[in-house]
Amino acid sequence: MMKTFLKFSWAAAAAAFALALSGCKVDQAYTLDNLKNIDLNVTLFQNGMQVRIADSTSVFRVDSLMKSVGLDTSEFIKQAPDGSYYIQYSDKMDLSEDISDIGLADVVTINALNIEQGITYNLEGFDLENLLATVPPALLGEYTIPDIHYDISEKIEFDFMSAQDFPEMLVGVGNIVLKNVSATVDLVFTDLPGNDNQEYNLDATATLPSFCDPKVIELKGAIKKNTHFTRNILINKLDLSDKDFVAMRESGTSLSDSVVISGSVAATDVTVDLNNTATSVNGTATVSISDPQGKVDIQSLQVKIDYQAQQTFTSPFFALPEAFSDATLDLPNATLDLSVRTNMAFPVTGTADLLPQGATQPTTSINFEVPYSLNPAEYKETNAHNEVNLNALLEAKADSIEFVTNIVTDKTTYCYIEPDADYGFELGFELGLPLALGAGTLINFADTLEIGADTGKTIGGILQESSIGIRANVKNTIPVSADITIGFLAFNEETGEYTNIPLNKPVKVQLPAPGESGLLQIVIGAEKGNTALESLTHMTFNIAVHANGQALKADNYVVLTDIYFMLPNGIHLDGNSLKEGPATAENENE
Amino acid sequence: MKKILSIVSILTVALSLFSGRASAQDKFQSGFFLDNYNYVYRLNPALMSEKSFFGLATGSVEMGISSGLGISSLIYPNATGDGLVTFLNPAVTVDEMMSHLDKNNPFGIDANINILSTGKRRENKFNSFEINLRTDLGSSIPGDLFRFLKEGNSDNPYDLSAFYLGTKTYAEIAFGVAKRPADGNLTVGFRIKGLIGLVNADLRFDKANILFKEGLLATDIEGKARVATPLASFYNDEQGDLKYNLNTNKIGPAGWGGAIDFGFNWNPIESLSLTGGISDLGGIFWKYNTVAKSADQFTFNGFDKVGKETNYEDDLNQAKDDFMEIANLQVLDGVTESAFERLAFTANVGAKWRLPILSFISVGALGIYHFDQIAPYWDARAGLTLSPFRFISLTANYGRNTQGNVLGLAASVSILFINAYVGVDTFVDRVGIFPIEGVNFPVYGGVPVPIDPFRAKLTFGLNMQFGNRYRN
Repeated sequence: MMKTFLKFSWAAAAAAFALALSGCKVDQAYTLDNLKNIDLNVTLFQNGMQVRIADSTSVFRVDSLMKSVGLDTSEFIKQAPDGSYYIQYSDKMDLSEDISDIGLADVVTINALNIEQGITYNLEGFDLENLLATVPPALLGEYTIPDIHYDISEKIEFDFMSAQDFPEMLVGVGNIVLKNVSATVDLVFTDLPGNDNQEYNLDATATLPSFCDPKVIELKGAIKKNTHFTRNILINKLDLSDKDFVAMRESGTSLSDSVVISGSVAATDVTVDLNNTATSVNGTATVSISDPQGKVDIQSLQVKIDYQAQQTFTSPFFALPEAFSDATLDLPNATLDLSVRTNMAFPVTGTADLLPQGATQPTTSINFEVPYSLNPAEYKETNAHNEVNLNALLEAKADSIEFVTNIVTDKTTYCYIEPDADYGFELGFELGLPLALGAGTLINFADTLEIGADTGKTIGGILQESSIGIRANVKNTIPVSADITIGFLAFNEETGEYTNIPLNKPVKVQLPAPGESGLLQIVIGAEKGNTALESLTHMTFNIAVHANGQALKADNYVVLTDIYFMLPNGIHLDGNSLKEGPATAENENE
Repeated sequence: MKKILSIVSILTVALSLFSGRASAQDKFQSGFFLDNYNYVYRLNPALMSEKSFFGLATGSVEMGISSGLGISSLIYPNATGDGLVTFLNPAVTVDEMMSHLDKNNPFGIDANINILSTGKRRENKFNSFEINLRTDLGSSIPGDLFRFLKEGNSDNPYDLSAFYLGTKTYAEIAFGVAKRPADGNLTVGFRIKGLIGLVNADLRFDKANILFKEGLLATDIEGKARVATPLASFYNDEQGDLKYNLNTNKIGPAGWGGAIDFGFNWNPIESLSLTGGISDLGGIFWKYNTVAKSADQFTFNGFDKVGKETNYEDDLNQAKDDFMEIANLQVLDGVTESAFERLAFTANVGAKWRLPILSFISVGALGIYHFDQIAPYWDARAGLTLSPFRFISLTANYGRNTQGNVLGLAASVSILFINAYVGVDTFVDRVGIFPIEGVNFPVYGGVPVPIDPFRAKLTFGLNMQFGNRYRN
């Protein structure tokens, strides 16, 4: 019953509705054909629309920007008390091993000496030959000679340093302080007249070479036949300052000298057997210069050397963040402090060429001087402060830099060397770069935002008809100005290539110059007829920063006030494309 | 009984959540002209049903719809007349668009569902009793909302105070009497209605000005919402959002009220009836258990500062909170409100003449004025009724109302003791022909769709009739 009623009711309602409508006028404007021709082109907010987003912003402070591009102060970016930024990068290279390889300890070699030489002297003061000639042989017997003496004069020559051992670099030698080295003179007379207990008085001196200190050994005392008379003296140093080693090396002349022994050996009332008494006396003289181990150890020496060397040292270097990958930097006020720390006394001056690894031309050259320490236990340091231009170095984006050092010794000044000392040599450098972007500096920041093909087509369609924008009042205290460019790309998935979509009105705005205020307004769109926008898949943002050479400070800022989002001419939507529907093969054939 | 009321209450609350207040056509005017229409007394209680009847659940269903917005308000012919454009098309000026829109653009539906009805007819007396469930849902869209969409920035604020959303559901228990002296020619009648409010909820704005100018967004809003139903209680959660709890254990009315219909039917001659009456004169005393307000001024001029230290989410949330604080309804804890709300009553006068010889034909005229708070209207029409057989009656009427031409059609059929009827009253001035796939009206070649603001009321029912039949 109820079902029947409902069916009847619906049928009756439909019939009544149809009958009711049958009496109405048909407006011929509202027909199927006209509906098919409906123009869905609409405009929202035709008087425009603005919404204020913010009163002000301080988001663009330099310290924020620095962090945003990876230039954090925690590493090599430093901040001075006045807020200005600078780059500080330092490194030290320990070159002690390189220095030891030069062989300064072996520049002078002194030979140990031990020379024995036979001696013969004639009897002086008594005419033994006349006595033997006048006395019959039968009467020859013991006879007392009132005065016997012999004059000693002996010169023992030797080579201290062989000419072949002079290093090429050696120009001169000063004082050589020897370590526990003694000069020893030993005399033995084998046939002094008299019995074995007859004592003679030796009164002589041994004169050492002139560069020895001390130079004389006293040889005084009683001496008997066949007994050694030995005297020695500790040699403190050798003074070779008057030797022309260059000439000696050139002429092949060794450093030669001699020990001269002179004096006498004498006795009175010597009872002799005239049958066995000769008119001369024989023996040996021995001279040695060495330590107890038979060596000549040098404690220290002064040498003048003529030495030039080129040495290359490599140090890791920092690379600028990615944001600066396309940047052209100008850092004219950079400083490079080069320090040399050593315990050597080495009169050297030099230059250091700084260049990115692999480069052939140096970025900059600086002078330095090696400190002079006469005490190996005391390190001294010199610092050379240089103003340099490192643009080429930064532009090379090298991971490491090279210091090519050229050193020249002062051959008029002694090097002081203690062969047993541990010598150290450190070369340090510190780069200080005030982060002032030089005039003409151009830094490009670029980013690409993927929009997607579907969304891109919609946005592209809207942008053909409408425009959207942002405007703000800008005050710029950062010592840079910037151009902001917005572009659109179409990505072809088949070829993998991006194609720039040309705009009828390129979107490029300029940030006010440093210290200036102005209006920043970015409006995109209203590209009437630019159907290429429908292939939009990516959006590009490019900010080109131009600097004027002033230092960046943390509290420099770009402040934007009165920020508005704008739809200057409303939103135009071409809804007619909705009627057309997706393209079909049939449509395409048409 | 309590169980039935509970079910009905829950159903009406559920309906109310999806609806707004109605301002649809209230009375079925074609019923005045139709013969053998059991519920003719609803328009004028002095009019008596021709037979006694009984209806249960299917007795009478009235559904009305009205819209102040038509397709022609939003879609316009183009300049060459061979196509259409939307109101947002640049070719349509703001003035032209606004000429098709009012400050208030109401849309509403209403329903009167008869649950039980019975009438007992004697020659000179008629008694009726019925229980109805009545609901109306209404809304109003401000014309300035469309102006804003079209204009954008403007020197003048947009007045959105016409925005309205409301619903009302109540049960109606009516007892009616019509009587005339045995030898008299004047029938008087009245109906007394007891009204049980089930749900009433509305949201209205005394002030809702929004200014978009040079980036400034300024609002000045004073809104108020009320809900009367013990079945639900509303509150704001910690985020300020409006929430509700269903109180299924609190079954009961949300308001009480009453109304009276009265009228007369004078027959100076036997074939002529001159009638007049007023119906739904009364109202309901609603007890609003939830009162919420939104009243404040809010200006959004951008954030004070946007920068590195700015927490954008917090700032945006703060701006949103500031705005929502005035846009969001804040329940006034512990505040209740009682208010008497009158029904939209209807006054009518009419005449109906049955031709002396061709008594199966009658002609008539009816004029009404509907005193609706949102969309009052008048309606005047003349009708022709044909009742060639005792079991069938057909009527058609035509006239004008506040908006334009009106048309009504109705039919009543009785077979044995079953009576069924259907009718429609509608204002549809113009129609357009639009395609709906699978549906093709032979005359139009498409589906006729009203293009102007329209109003329609559809009624139908199925009753059992018994007893003698008396011509009015």
